[in-house]
Amino acid sequence: MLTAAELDHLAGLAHLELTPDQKQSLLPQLNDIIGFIGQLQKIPTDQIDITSEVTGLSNVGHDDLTKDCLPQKLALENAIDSTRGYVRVPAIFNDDDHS
Amino acid sequence: MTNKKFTPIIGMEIHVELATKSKMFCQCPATHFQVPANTHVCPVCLGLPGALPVPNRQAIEDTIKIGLALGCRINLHSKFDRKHYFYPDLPKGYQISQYDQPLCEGGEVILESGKAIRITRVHLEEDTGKLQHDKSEKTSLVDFNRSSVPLVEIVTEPDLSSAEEAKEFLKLLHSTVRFLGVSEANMEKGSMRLEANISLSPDGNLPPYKVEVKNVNSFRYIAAAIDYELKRHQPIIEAGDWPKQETRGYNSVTKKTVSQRSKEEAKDYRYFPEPDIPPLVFEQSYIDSLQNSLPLLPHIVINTLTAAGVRHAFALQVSKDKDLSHFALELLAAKPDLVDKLIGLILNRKLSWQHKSVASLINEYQSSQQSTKLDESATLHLIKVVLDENPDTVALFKKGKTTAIEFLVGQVMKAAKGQADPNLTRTLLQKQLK
Amino acid sequence: MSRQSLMTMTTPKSITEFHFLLTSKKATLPELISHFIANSKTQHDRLNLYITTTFDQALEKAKTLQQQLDSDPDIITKLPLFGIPIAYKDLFLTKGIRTTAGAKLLDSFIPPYSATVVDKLEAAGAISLGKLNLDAWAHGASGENSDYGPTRNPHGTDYTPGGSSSASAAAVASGCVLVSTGTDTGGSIRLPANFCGIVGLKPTYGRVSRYGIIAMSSSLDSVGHFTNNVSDSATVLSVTSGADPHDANTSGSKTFQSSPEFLNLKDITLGIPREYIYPVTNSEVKDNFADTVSLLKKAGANIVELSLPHTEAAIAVYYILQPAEVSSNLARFDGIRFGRNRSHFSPEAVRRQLIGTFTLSSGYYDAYYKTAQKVRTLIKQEFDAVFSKVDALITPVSPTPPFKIGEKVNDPVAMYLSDVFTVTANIAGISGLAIPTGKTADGLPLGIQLLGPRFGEETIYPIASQLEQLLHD
Repeated sequence: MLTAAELDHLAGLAHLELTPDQKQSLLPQLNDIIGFIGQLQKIPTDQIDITSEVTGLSNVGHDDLTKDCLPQKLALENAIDSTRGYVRVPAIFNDDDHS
Repeated sequence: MTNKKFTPIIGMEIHVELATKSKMFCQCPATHFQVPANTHVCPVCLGLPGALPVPNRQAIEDTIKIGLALGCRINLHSKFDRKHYFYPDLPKGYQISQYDQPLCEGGEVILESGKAIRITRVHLEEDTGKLQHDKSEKTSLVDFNRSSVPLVEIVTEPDLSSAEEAKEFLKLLHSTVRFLGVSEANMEKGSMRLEANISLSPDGNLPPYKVEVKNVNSFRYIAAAIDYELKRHQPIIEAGDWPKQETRGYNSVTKKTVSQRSKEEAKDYRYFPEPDIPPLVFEQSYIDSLQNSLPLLPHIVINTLTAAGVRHAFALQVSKDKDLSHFALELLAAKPDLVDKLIGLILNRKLSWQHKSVASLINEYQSSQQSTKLDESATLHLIKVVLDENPDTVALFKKGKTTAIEFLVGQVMKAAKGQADPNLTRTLLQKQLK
Repeated sequence: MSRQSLMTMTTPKSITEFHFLLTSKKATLPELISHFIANSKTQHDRLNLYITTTFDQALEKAKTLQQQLDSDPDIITKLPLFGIPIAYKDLFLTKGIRTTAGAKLLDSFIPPYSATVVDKLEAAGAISLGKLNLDAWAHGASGENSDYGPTRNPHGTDYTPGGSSSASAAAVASGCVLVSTGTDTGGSIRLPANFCGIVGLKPTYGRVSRYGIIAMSSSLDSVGHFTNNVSDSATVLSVTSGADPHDANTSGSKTFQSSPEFLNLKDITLGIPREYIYPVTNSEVKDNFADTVSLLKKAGANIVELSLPHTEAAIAVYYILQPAEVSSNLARFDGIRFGRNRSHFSPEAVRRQLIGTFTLSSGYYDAYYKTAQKVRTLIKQEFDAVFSKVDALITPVSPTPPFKIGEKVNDPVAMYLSDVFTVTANIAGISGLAIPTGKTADGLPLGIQLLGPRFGEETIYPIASQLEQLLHD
């Protein structure tokens, strides 16, 4: 059973801001779904390998050669805010918020 | 103050940018240093909707070579995984990296002291874009030219025990990567990035904290940062506390580390296998051929020679010269009992090795040793002088003290300044004394 | 041709018919395209089909192609889709033309590149009339999750056309285009084809490039299309299929070639998995399916009943793997390089991302995501085993005929259960073709699907063609 606190945690991980109303309606819906998908655990799968892709392919790659790029104008065209060739975002204070 | 024996526990995480022509998952040019912003980009490295990654074969091979050079085991089954987090310079909201099946695992680097620094893993991933703060500090600017450039991550076990060891390790790693020709490994340009995980143990056990020091771009500074941290941790531990688990940067002006962010909560990256890229499967014969193709690496030369009894100082000298390294290893194979002596002679310029085969150098040495020995008539001449000068010993011998002959052999050797052959001398003396 | 006759002209229903009108000079290409544009305008008002139209560009291309035809009549033989009116599910990126994924978040996104499939179709001569409505982000089975309003079923406007490729199916069924593209992740082509009474192909996963198509669930998405008949469907696949260096999962994929060889049904064995039969309680679906099977049996096909025991588990597998991949694929929509910020996601998209985040999160990954990947192996193995015994499987597409707009929209789990017969093909990565086989008493379409092994289109198309012929007779 997902709790409200766990829902908050998931929303944080997924960068989704939820209003109190949204949280209220989401919690039972999500628990319904989780209950439904949880049935899978009844199936014995200890000895089974995972399938992460069905194609059976391996070792696909590209040669180390360059190709044409997008012109800068097209690359930036859809950005909400851009300047002098850069995409612009509100200031990030923690310079290494990422690993 | 108690007299605790503090042990520094230091592990390193190094990122090396590969010098491939194209990016890791697309074919944009991988160059980004001083290139106009957002001009080396395409739908893939911009993370546009609908774009799909296709891995760079050369980057995979380069990573395996780094792993082999560090003594790693190569995983014959490997794959890419998605690592999720949100940041403006990470266009897809996930980084394609490697999680539980990295290309390389379990290697080691031997320091001069003979201490082994274990390599936990070497894996391949894509770099992020670059974020810079606008002067007004109200906005940040993002350039995706660096997005998806191939990045190799090298992680060590926390086996390092001092800033000096860390520096030595990093220098070895740096020269290895450059020797392989897979990366410029230039710290000013950011093609080699250093991170240290530092803790101090009061009792030899692994303490319940570690401090991560990041964004340091020189060996000198990382060593200084490590020293600073170790000094900072000690009083805290002595007071009965543990230093705060966090990330810190190093300020080279104030020569202090500075807290950047609390690393309290472990991040949940929600790794899962990258569905857009089929897995990697290698034949052992392919890995063997890569191993054989490796250029002669400095630490391998040093390790091989020192293992055979060559002095470390000699081995280090030899390893700096690619051609001499090859020659020395051939010498080792041909005449292991003489290799330390011969290398010593070569380094002291007593023997010349250039434009010569190993066999002819050995020959030259051996005949030089023989030609200095006196022949029969010269030895006889010396014997007569010694017999004349030592009548009492001769008399002793003739009375039955046969061991007295050794004294006379010694006298002949002395007079010949070591050039006489002891066996020949003995035989001739015996004849003379009959 | 006069304006009047343009309006009363019977809309050609096949590529062959369309090309015949051109080669026999009964109509020019601009006239034909104008006809389809007129249909599009009328039907759009009735059914809500288009998010973006490109009628002017379409007429321009028609004029250009007509000139080419005038100077080189052979061009129709060189370009299999010469002049054919087409429209794309609005998940397919079209360079310079707005692409929204049916979502408000992307309502002003102008892609700087086109999907490989779009380039291929247009290089084969197709003329695009615009971008078609869908459940936002392809999340849905009825078209009701679109941020641009639901699409209606041409056979009964109170009914849904199925989803998520809702308008793609409705547009072909209502004569607006002869071909439309779609994606099938858990049934999103086969279900709307079934509900709209047309042919819909879910190709083998990796047969057709996904490059340039907004990803829903990367290991399940299959790129397919809708047509009025089997032959046209095969023609389109011969254009869209093949390896694309931009999509690593298409490596080694060979271009599909339709075989002119006649297939004798006596040489064919069809399997009916009982797990797809006993859950069907609706008598019209049941009877239509039984009638279809009889038809095939009478024509000589061997029919075998068999079992795919893990069929029931498939929905749970699907609703773990798919939302997980969705939560990952939607992470790039951060409002920085394109689109609006994440507060613009609609409730279904929010729901799926939260479920996906849950199943991938630390502490739950093994019990949910990893378990689903293991059951996926079981499902795939079952299909592999079955295809060594039969040439293809025949099953209903949906347990019910088309349902009414509003009937399931407030019950996500009920909506998810519409996929019960379709998700298995995506989990196993196999081929599936939906074919119309009849109508309900209310005039709503009924149909079946043929499921073939991976790269089994070469088998299911000829079977479908025979079936189509039998139904026609």
